[in-house]
Amino acid sequence: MVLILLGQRLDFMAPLRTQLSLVATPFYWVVDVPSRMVNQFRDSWSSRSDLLADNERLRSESLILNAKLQKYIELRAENVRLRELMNSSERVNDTVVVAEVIAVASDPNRHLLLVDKGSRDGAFVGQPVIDANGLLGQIIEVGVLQSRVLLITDNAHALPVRVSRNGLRAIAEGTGLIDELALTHVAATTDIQVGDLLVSSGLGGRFPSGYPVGEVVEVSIDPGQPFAEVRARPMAKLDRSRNVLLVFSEQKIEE
Amino acid sequence: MESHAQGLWFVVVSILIALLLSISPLSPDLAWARPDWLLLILVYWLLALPERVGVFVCWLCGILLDVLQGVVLGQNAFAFAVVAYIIQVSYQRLRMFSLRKQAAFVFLLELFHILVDQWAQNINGVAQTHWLVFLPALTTGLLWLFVRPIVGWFQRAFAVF
Repeated sequence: MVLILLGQRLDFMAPLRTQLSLVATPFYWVVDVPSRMVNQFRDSWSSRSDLLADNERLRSESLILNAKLQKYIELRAENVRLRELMNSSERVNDTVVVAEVIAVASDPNRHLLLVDKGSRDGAFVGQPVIDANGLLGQIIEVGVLQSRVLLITDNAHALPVRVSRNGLRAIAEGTGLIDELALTHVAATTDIQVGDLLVSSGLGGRFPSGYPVGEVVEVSIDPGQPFAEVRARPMAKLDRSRNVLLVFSEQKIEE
Repeated sequence: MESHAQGLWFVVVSILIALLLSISPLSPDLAWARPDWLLLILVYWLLALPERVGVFVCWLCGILLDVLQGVVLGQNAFAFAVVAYIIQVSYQRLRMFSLRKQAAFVFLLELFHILVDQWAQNINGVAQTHWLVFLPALTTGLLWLFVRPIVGWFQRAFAVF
């Protein structure tokens, strides 16, 4: 029995785990039944006026988004032009697949999600996961029908980021708190301010660059310490998203 | 000892319910206090039917829980197997304990389970742990006061032997 504890560490168990996770699928399906029933109940009982109001709101939202998109197309063209001028490579367009969160880790110490896309849908270990607001985490374990996502706030997670204002590079580590990231080894003299937007830098080759990660909420500089203590709030709604996006960057597909 | 099992389906169902309860979503604050349902149910059957539920069944349930929770494969299995062994050795004495004494014993077993979990996770690189991880030991011990009478009632109602 101790042998199993050791076997886990030797990395040849990964395919076995993929198969075993099939066993877990019906359990999670059953556990999810109450929330699905509540949703269905709410859907079927929402009144006509609610639906009309919803429709109206969505329509106006789509109008606004479309208007923004026009601007975006132009900006994109301009961006490509500028990049050509500077001889830098064009950023590849990422394709995404929507996945549904089917469970969160029952251990409150870990920040893990279970999503309903697995190796059958092309998910792979190390795949970045985002939501509508920013970077969420990465896939650490792929099953056939589901995979596990490690959130950026888990205390075992760290990712390279860049301050979008001035391009300063840093490492954002998870703290184990759902609404906090810590930037490590930021020199006390660094130009970093509250309100700065952190985006993924793409260094390390795991996350594509340019996705919003967090916003700096606290910079405390203690003269006695060599490094400033910088805390950031994740942009992604880590504890709220029901739907997440798995990012397939085109480079990965080519490989 | 009876040669034929009777009503073993209830044992299976109760274990399945315990597994479901241990992965059901809870609010973040409550999640710290989530009692170890599987341990409660397994301890009950280990005491009630020691000739049917043994080390191997507990180990199997533990593996299932490992897979469900996505934790280090074997950590729950190992802990439950040891718990099963402890009870197999001493169930005749444990049956004579009062309910409160048994609850204290379950508290100790759960503490052992948590320590094994933490140990297994620390070895695998999850460094930071919070003192609150020991809270389930308390809730599990307290819950034993209710679980034993309730499951006992069901056991008599469904005539599980």
